[in-house]
Amino acid sequence: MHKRIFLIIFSFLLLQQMVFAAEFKVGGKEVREGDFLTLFYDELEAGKIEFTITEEGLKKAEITFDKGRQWQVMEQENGSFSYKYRPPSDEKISPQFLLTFQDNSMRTLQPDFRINYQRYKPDNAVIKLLEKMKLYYEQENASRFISLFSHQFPDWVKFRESIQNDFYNYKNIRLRYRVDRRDFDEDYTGAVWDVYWERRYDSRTGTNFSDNSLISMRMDKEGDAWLISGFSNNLIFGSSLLSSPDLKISSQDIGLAGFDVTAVIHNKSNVPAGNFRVKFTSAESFTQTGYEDVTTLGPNSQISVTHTFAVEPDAPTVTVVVDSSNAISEINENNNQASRTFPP
Amino acid sequence: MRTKRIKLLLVLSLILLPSFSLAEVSSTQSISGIYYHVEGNKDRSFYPANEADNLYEGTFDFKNIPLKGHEAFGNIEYRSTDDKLIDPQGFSIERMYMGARDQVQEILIGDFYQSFSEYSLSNALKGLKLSFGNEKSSRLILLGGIDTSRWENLWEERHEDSASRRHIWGARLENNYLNKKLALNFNYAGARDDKAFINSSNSPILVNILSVESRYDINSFVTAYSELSQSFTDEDIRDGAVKTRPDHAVKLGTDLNINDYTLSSVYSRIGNHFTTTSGFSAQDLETLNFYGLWFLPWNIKFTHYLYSDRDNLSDTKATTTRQLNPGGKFNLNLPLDVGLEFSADMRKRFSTDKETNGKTYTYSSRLTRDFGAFFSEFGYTKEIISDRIYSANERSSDIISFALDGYFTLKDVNFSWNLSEDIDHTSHKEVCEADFSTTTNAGLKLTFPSTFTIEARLSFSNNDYYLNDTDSENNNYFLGISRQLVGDSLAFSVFYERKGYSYYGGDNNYADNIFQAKLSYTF
Repeated sequence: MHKRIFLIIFSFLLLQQMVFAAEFKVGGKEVREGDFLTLFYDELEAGKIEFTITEEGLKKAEITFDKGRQWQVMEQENGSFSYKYRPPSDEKISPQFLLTFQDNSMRTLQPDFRINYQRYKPDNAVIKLLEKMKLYYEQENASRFISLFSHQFPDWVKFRESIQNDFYNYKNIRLRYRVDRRDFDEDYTGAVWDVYWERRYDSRTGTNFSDNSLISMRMDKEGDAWLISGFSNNLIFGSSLLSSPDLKISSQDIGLAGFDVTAVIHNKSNVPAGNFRVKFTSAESFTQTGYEDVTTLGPNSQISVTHTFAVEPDAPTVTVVVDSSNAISEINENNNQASRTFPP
Repeated sequence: MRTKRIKLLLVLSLILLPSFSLAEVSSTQSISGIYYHVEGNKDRSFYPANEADNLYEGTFDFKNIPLKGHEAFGNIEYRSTDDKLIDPQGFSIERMYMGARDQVQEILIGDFYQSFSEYSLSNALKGLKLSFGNEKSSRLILLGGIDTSRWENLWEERHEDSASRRHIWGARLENNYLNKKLALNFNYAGARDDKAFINSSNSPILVNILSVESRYDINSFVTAYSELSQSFTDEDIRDGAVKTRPDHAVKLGTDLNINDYTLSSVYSRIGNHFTTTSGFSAQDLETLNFYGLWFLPWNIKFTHYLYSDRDNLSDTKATTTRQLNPGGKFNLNLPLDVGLEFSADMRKRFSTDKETNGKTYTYSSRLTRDFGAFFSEFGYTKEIISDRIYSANERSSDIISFALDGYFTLKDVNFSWNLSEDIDHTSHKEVCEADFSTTTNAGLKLTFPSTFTIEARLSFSNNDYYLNDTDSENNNYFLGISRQLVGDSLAFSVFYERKGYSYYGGDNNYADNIFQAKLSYTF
């Protein structure tokens, strides 16, 4: 009975040896067929990854990292052959070996393991990216800010335009962020982070505004750099074009019937607007002014607002100012006022 | 009997010990004290006026633990603080997962990020993932979970700042045929918003998506790929009436890769009601993009692109906006190891209702040289913006940047330093006025053989806008020291940072002072 158990265990151990005839170590760690190993610069000795191969009857071993264009001779020590490789940049390394045996027979070997080398630990690299976002946005440096975004970013051209628009409309921008979630994919080349952004800024007319948004940010590693490839729930970056309302009125939108002045107000944006004040002024022999409040106006829609003057205007010039208290930060603040003169 | 047990234990040890020797367990625990002090107009600052807070952070990580023929792995990260700027909750679990895998299967429970494809599922989840098979031949992935920021959202009522809690489920089947020349993947994904986490002005959705991805290596130079996706979306599950809107997204692309030239071409069309589980995709948009890279003689690299798109495919908006963005960039090496880069880019936006008609021309040049002891960079960018509708938007900018970045060693002490200057002059055509701003940055870091490190940074910016009442001056000073105390295990760091903001009139001036001391232990 015991012999059988020992035989089974011995066979198992022998089988392991047969399957993995050559033994590999990467950075001092044993690796097996199919392994996927991620290494960071901090974990290396002098920035080099040490590859070691051990196999019975081996006389010489060479290694290549560029599919055989250049072969490096491995150093022999204590029956093993090793080579210290300094990756020039972040890369996925799949080494191949050229083995020469004592009987002068030769064999190439491409073990089925992959090394994912990254200079910076992904957490630190993404934090650096967020810091750059904050810095370039506060400095209103559009070209550097946009360089942090991948060309895969949805609606890329419009987003570039919207950032340019932000920097034209906003001054003295300050940002603060807080990371609420950090998740990476298996090989640390993709990530989704939830980042709470808070922004304070002045409009070109000097009015103070503040807003915030918990943005889900998708980031991908392209070459050496982490770049932003998607936003979800972004109400901050590019908001002057993407997520700010645009209230508009023109002279044709103003009507007069007896005491009543009617104004049709348009929201020309993709976001709703609300809680703004509309100012009505009638100037004739004397001026009378009145206000009406609008609580909500949907995206790409219009609303008719009527104000009744105390005295019936007679051949007046009626002026309507939308968002007269400047409560809403808009894409375009220059289309909020219109006047119309009615015949007597 | 005892001898037998010892023998058996010895043999089992022979099998298991090598595996256990691969096991890795690591942990970092750190404790910090933070002090905030705001001078001047305190209402303008993000920080508390005068407050001391504490912060405790810890991680445990284990991998390569043998478990019934599988490798077990896991991680937990947690944080405890009374600093509301860092974490609005007193204690929170930042990340937590554990799982087991072998060559052909994997189970993972906890936090993970999974991306099936652009038009199906790409979410960070708290849930369960099962994977069977090998990605080189065929593989099946099944997953389900909740897409939400914090673990606390799973057992607490809706928390302030929590954007959403979305239930996600999905399956992906990956197949490789024709000696891996053809890849064919099938995706199914679904998502349902938790109504309690959606405020009254937004609508919770339910979506189911089917997508087919393919990639085919036509020959050694050309690869074609595609994704066809159909979504079925109920855009408001709150009102109870089922009103599913089907819509589709299509992506067709080719990659050309010959010796000296690469060209990526991709066409995509995304419907107005097309939805993914993640919300990262655009909607109601058609794009046609080309991106090429030509390696010319004398080590010259020519990058060129054309991005174009139009919205309102559904014809549901009052206007349709089209955008065109061609551009190119040359990279070349001049004598004396000087690198030169110059580029031109044009962006044009115009709409059918004639409300939008603007162009932006950007011309950039950049010179770089590595002098060995330091790296230098000089850049000049000219940007001209024309707008046929709103003349107030018309302006031209000249942006000059200069940077030096050096490193040297003196008596075993490593010095790294940097210096940069950015100058931005923007002329506004309509008012014949100009904005002028300058930013100066400088930094120095000394690393001693004992691992003692001193770092200092300073930054000044001066913004003179043509509207004088928005003028500002900002400054930022940073001083930090750090040292490893016991080997690589125990370390401390201390830093002080001051950020000052001065505005026209002086009433809004303020300055943030932040002091932080941190002690961390790693094993």
